[in-house]
Amino acid sequence: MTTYKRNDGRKLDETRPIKMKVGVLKHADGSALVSIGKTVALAAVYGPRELNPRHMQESDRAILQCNYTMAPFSTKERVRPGPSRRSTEISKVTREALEPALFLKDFPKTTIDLYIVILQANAGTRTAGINAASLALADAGIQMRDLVTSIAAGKIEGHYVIDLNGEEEELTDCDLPIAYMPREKKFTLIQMDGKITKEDMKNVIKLAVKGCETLYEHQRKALLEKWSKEGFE
Amino acid sequence: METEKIEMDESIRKELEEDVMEEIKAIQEKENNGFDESDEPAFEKQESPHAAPSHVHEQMHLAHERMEEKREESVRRGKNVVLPGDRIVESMEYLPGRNCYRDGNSIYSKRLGVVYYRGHVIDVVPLSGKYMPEADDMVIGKVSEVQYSGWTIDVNSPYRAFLPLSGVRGFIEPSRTDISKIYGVGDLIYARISEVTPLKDIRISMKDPSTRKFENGRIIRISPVKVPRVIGKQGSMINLIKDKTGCRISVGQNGVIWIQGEKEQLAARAIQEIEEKSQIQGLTDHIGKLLNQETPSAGVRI
Repeated sequence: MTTYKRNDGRKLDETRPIKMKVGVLKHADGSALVSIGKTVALAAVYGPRELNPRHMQESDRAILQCNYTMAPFSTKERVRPGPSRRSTEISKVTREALEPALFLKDFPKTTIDLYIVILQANAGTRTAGINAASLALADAGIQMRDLVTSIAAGKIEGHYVIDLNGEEEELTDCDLPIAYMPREKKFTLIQMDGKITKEDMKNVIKLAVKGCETLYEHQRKALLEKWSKEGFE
Repeated sequence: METEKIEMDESIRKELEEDVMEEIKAIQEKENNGFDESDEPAFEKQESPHAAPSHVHEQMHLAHERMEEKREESVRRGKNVVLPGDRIVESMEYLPGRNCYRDGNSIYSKRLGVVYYRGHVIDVVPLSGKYMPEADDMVIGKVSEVQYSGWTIDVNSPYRAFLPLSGVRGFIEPSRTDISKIYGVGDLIYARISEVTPLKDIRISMKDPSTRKFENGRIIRISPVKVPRVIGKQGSMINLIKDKTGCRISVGQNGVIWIQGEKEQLAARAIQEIEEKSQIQGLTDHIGKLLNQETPSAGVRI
């Protein structure tokens, strides 16, 4: 098999360099900063807290309110602040990617507010955002079934590649971000841009799952780095 | 996991037994000297402050309880921090207690915390998170609204608590009384949570003798998961701070703390130090030293 040479010299199944830090914001109940290559995402969690207006309350469970934004300076061209069609969609899929991991019934009538800000964008912002959000939720001490990890994989010139960067994203035949719960082995998000055969899709997803498992290790490390010394005396 | 626990117990059991024997001896000596502990009125559960002499049995029982506590703590100390979704044990012998759940044969953690065995029940003691009201907790709350038949109280949790007229001492006829004269908006009260429904309707009560309204002093807030550290074993830590600063202090389970006295600043500083350094060894000594320095360092964040 001829090998495809990626523009940043990575192997086909190698992710970009990952850095994760938990508890970066003092004021938030939970927070995390995740950088994957040149993409940097910051997540902050507040709650569970009282939900107003009251008609939004769910009497038997909490709701997750998710807000994804890109900082104006996150790309080469200024991003217009405020909600856009794109950010509204990503907020929604992020929420749906995280909800299955939460025990929302444990705190009825409340809200968990999640803010994701993309500080720097170079493809894979929604996946970086989900990774950061999952860390922030765990940091905030919210009841969760599992952590959620997320990464994209795709196909370029007949080769399956993981974690596409900005330049690769434009070359791909298909770009497929997933979110995955590593312990439960369940998907919480599958999206796709482009065209792909059924067979290819299976392989791409398999590759992405592999990437998620790597990310999971990083997430664990980041959480334990902050909390392992906390324990008890 | 099970074997690990047993090994650990073995390694420290001797040490603990020695400790306990010493404690029992000390207690017996105190008995002989006619020791009487006239402590200031305490707010949290404390074993009879005026222990009548010749209650050696009771004291021994206490010492054994303490040993049990130490053993439990050693289990905690040995266990690593678990993350949401971490498998705690693969066995049907155990039941999931607080902050964990069963899936198939295994019990998993729901939260970031430390595993704690209570017989056959497994609890995860959280390391972070909001205060969730539980019946019989003593909390410090702020009156946020006065209604016809009671008060709405902010208890530093996601849920507002309700203090009904029936929850205060004495009979009040609401049509003839201005109940905001009893508790007005902004008043701080030390109250007991009397009821928590599954849908999280919280009722509190001011009927308990230990409950009261705070007239002066200051309030600080800490993370509710650090409250046991601030209180210490049998109130050792909080009593240390009270002794050294001469302040009156009430600690709410919800992480709100009331301090009143001349050295409020110092007491607040000590409590914040406990919150920040809650994990270090010899915390009590450290706080003792800090309090002996007398002068609080500048820049205290309240």
